[in-house]
Amino acid sequence: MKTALSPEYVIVRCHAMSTELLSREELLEIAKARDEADFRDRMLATPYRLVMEELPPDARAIDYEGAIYTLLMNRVERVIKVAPEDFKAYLRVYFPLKFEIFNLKRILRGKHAGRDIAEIRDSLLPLSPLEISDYKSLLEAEDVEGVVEALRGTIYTPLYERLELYREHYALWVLEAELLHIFAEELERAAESSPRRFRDLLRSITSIRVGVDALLLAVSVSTVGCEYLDPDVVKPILEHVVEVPPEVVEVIMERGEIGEALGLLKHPIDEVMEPILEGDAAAVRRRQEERLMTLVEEAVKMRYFDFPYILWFLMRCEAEARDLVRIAWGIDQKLPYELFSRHLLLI
Amino acid sequence: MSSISGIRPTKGFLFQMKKRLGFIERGCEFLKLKRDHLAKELRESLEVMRGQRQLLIEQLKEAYEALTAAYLTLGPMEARSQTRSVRRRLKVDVLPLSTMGVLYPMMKILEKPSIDVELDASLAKAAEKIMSLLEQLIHLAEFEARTERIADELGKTNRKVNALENIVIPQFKNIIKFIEDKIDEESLDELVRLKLIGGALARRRG
Repeated sequence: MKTALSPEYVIVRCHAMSTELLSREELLEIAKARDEADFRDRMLATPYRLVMEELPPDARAIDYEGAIYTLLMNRVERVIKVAPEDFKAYLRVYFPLKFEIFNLKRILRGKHAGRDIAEIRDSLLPLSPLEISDYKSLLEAEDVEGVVEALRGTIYTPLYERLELYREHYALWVLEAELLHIFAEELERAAESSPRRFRDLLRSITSIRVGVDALLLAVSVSTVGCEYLDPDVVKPILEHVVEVPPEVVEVIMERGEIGEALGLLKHPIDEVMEPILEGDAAAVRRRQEERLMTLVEEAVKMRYFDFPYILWFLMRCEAEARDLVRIAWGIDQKLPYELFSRHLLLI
Repeated sequence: MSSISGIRPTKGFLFQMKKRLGFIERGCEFLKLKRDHLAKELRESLEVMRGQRQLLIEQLKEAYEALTAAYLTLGPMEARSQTRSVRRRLKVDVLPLSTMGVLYPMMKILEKPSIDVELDASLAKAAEKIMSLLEQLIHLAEFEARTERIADELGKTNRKVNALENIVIPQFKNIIKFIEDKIDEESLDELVRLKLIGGALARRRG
């Protein structure tokens, strides 16, 4: 197994690996595939060939998503494995830990709704356990409480403290919010341990990622009419996000005044959140992704052969994977190109 | 005439036939009333349904667009995981209702879906739109089923009225006329026979 090497080695490696990334033109060509068979053929002519070949001929968008994420995880693992220790912590939290939290949320949701093990397993991203010992014990847990119990002793232990609220109100969003809180805390801790010259950049990334996610969570639970709404569950997530004053959560969750809440936000989160006024959460997510990419791209311009390039490379890999999944689904649903292309980040 | 074969040209049978014809004509009148009422109901239902459908199609289009945006934002796996985590789903009870003897289903919402999980805001928007349409969708489905059953029943009633008016009633009238003719003929024969006998008796006496 390779150990951490010098920063230069990883950066040069990322520059070399960037040739595997699809250009805008290549993505455009894939997005204009006539049907699923054509999409598959076009994907086979790219570095995704490795994972696409294993899929059955009648594969659907959901199968393509699994394959595309397999390659993404492979790229993330390849880079993190050789990343220097002071960069590794942030990369490890920002990428694999984020995906592990996605998987935990899916397990919790599956258990909450009483889905069977196979169905929950099929919904997981192809990811090796990071902070948990294994997925098997979580999947085999009888219910949500069993999953939370199995997570005791890991970084997810704070979930146990929220279990009482879950039991009382059957509000799973409380546990999901706690997972976002854990993610925010880990990101903050990782940023602290990163080289001083990058801390501002990393804090900005954390703010946009966590701040927008927390605000969207507050908007979403208020929109769908959850019976249990408590701003105190969301507030701790925003502890390190200076652009979002804690009272914003109360304005959204208790009074439902989105316009007023937006007025309290600071730049750039106010700009990212703006489309929510029209109820367009998809546009908020798009702006969030764009803002994060722009932030890292600007840092890369300043330090081309430094840590921001590694971050940019992995973010670009993730954006590419997300765009390909969107294209696959758009084609699967026979949506016109004009409709789904609006949601693509790299085109 | 096959309908006439096998009938008894007696006054008793004629009386029975006339009674039956009266009953059939009364039934036919009732069926015509039912037909008119059903036609009126159908016309009204179709007008309401057309308006409701148009409105609902517009709203459904918006809801579908929101759902598409959510799927494109989250990816199918995450969107599916979130949507399948909704525990309290829609529960309806189907009860039978009747208009002019036409049974149609009426749906009673027992439990609306309740979302207690963290849906992404894009999916929450789609869910909100769809939930606001649920009741309207159910009512429209109810209305469509009702209209379909009324149209069905109207067709059946129309066929029955036509059959009665064009086949059964004329047949009965033919039978009655046949019996009446036969009885008239027989009574004329009887009269002639009586006259002849009366003449013969008078000649014998004279």
